[in-house]
Amino acid sequence: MSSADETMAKHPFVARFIDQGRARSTEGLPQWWADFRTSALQRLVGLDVPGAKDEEWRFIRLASLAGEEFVAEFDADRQVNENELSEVTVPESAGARLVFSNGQFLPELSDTSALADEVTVTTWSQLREAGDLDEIHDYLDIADFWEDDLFYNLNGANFEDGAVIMVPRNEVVETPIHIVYLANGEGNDFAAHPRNIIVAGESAQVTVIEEFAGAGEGTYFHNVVDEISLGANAKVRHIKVQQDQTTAYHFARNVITLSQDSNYEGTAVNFGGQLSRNDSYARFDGKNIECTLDGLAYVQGRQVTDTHTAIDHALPDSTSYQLHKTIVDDRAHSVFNGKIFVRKDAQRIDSNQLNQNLVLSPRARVDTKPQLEIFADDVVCSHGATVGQLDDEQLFYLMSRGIDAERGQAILTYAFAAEVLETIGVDSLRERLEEQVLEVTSAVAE
Amino acid sequence: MSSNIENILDQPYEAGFVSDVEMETFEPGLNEDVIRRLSAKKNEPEFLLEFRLKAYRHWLQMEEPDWANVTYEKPDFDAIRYYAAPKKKPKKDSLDEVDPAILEVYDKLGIPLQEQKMLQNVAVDAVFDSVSVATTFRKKLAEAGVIFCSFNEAVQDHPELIEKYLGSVVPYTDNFYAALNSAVFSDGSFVYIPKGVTCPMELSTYFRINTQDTGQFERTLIVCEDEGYVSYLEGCTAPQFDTNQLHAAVVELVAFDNAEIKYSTVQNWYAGDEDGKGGIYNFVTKRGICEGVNSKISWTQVETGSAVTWKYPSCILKGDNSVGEFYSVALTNHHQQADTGTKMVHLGKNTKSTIISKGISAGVSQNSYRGLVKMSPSADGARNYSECDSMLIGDRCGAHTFPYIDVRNPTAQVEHEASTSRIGEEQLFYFLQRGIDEEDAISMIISGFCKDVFHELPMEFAVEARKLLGIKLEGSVG
Repeated sequence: MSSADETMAKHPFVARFIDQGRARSTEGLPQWWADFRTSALQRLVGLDVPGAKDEEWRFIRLASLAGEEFVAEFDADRQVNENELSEVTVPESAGARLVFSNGQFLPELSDTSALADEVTVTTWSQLREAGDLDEIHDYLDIADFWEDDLFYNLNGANFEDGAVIMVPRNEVVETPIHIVYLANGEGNDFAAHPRNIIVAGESAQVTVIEEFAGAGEGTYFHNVVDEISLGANAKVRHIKVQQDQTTAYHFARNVITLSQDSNYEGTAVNFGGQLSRNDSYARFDGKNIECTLDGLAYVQGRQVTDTHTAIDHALPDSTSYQLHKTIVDDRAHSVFNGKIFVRKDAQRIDSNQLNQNLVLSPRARVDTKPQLEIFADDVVCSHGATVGQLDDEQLFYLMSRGIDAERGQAILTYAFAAEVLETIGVDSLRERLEEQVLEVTSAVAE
Repeated sequence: MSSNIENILDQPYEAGFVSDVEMETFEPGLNEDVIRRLSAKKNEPEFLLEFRLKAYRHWLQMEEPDWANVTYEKPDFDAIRYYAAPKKKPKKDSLDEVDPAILEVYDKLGIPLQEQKMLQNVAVDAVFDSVSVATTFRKKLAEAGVIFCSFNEAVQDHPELIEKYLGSVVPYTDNFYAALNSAVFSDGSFVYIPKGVTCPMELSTYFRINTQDTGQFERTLIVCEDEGYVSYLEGCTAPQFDTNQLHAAVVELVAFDNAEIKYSTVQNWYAGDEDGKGGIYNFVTKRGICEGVNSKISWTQVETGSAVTWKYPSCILKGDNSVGEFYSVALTNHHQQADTGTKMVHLGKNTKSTIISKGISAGVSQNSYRGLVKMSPSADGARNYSECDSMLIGDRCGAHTFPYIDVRNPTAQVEHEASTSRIGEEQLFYFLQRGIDEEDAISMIISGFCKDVFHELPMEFAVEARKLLGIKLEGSVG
């Protein structure tokens, strides 16, 4: 048997995606894209669904995902429920919104009229139609960190659409750009592989909100790759909100490459998905860079959420921060692994990481593994991790002021989450998320 | 500064001599026959031979682990001699009967058994290559009801205790090196503290590998009954050979209700030369179980030697309110690699654990902390506090931290902190301007960095540990 056949026989989950990738149209595909797809398909042959022995996957089980039979996204119904869309509207982003449904672009619901002509805010599908893809070639596959990763290659072999945002040199985009991925998952178990490209040129500034939302009970699969390139002195604020259906699967790989003097501030909010995985890799290609990778995950029921981050200080004189919080209720399970690498000769690095986990139920589970790998001596690196329940003394303090225990618990849980949410500078989005947390915590209290 | 630090670090290995004691050895190689011969040589009861053979058969099915953050040439298990013992027999009743050549070795190492016996009131069991050569203070301990003897003697005199507890904490299936040890272990120490007895003195074992190509596979078993207390010290050295030698020990501790075991190690196996040639592979499984309520197990280790260290002294906190502690200083220099840490598995209610780990890396060495804190669903009100600090000396070495935290109980509290830094120019300047030279300054700064751990060591070990770090770092400042 050839190795391709072996993969087919051993891993029908992978084989299905290889078939789907091979069946995709090559019409209007530039050579470099076709080549990239081919190489991803080749790498998929022989890749296993990772198991518990794989260090990167040891805390979660992929058996349920691997047992699903997803159809390609274009075979899925992409009708949009207008109510759904209005629920995730961000007024600040009026005239700067891209809407996708089931992984496919919906031009009729998108509007980029508020943005200057110099700023490119479009999609792979539109550029392909216009035969105008070549300028994004340089921003595809910008790091080899996930070269052998199953999900990165599933995306590489199958992606056809996703947002493309390119901000030229010195351009400051005031309007936050909102990318919305809706899912119409009811009984429609598709797999979509969005690939978002965000490029900020020298001294450019932009805020991007990437939001996934779905209502209903679908077991669809969002398998996302974001590639974010920052030029010298560029500034990117990236807020990701993942509220996929709690029956869905959400996997994402975020690659961030940073040039000198640039500043990336990322906040990842994960509320949705029966199984969600959000991984970020930040590579420092210059000096004097600042990078923040914050996160908040709130999971209930039997949800599982897993976040892995890798901050790669390849060069000296930079700073990184990370505050990752999780709230785990019912029988939910959260995982965090935060790696900080300081390479040889990358001196004068200042890196701080804090992971805090709040456990609300006796059957909840938390796994955390902060990790430092330091190869230079003139550095200040620290990490901390805590796992526990609400502080009795804080609760007592509130109760002594006439707030009952349930309300007190809700306030404290909310406050725990708010520390991450309050850094979100887009007011309506921050308020919406804060309200959402408050609603859940109050419901828990009742 | 750095060139000076390097000088300090280049201090020669003082315990690296070979002594010419007549040895009786097996041919290199491992198979069931070797194990049977080994067992027969020691006149072992049937259950022990069975244990060895089961372990060997299981070991054959296992693969050498490669998850640790170390790289080394895998040992050739057929090139190792599984038995090496000083020829003079039979067992001595007093030190006067021990071969003077052996005693001389211990003198060179600074462990004059006689002197310790006289002055320090410490009972010593000395293990030379694989076989225990002398146990001091036997009588005095026996009066208190404490059994402290070599493992082989325990097998002969107290087989029921060995059968009951051997493999009860570290089963032979536990890991690759524990399985190998279970199959071929040669000797070690056995301690039994009966109910209500506080061991009248600190017990101590010195391990020494002397013969080239031998592996040392000792086995230590300490059982502490209700309300018992024992403090146990372990020290290790080996001569300088330019081939790697394997040391795969297993240590098992069992503490019952209200019992306390304090286990301290100063490990100074030969670390190889400056280019990383030779040195000991130190692959050790150490685990204690707090079986009873309010019991306590405390591990303190100062790791300065070995080419490759792979060691995680652990506590299983089964009894309610039991306490586990781990205090560690790990120093690596030149090409040394250490992957060390602990596992605290909380099963009982209100169990507590503390982890203090100090890693110092210099030269081109790699120093990793790897730890697990596990709060089981039954561990109501359990607490853990972990602090892992690393210090880097020079810009060619690495410091790594891999803590695993796994919590399945909402009332459990876990706190973990880690930091990495170096000796600041400003700190040094402060010492210098007060007339303290750089070498002393570094030594004092390191001492301060490790203070929390040294505090936990018994007096004479604390002095030795401080001296050892001083020697290891001597001439390294610039």
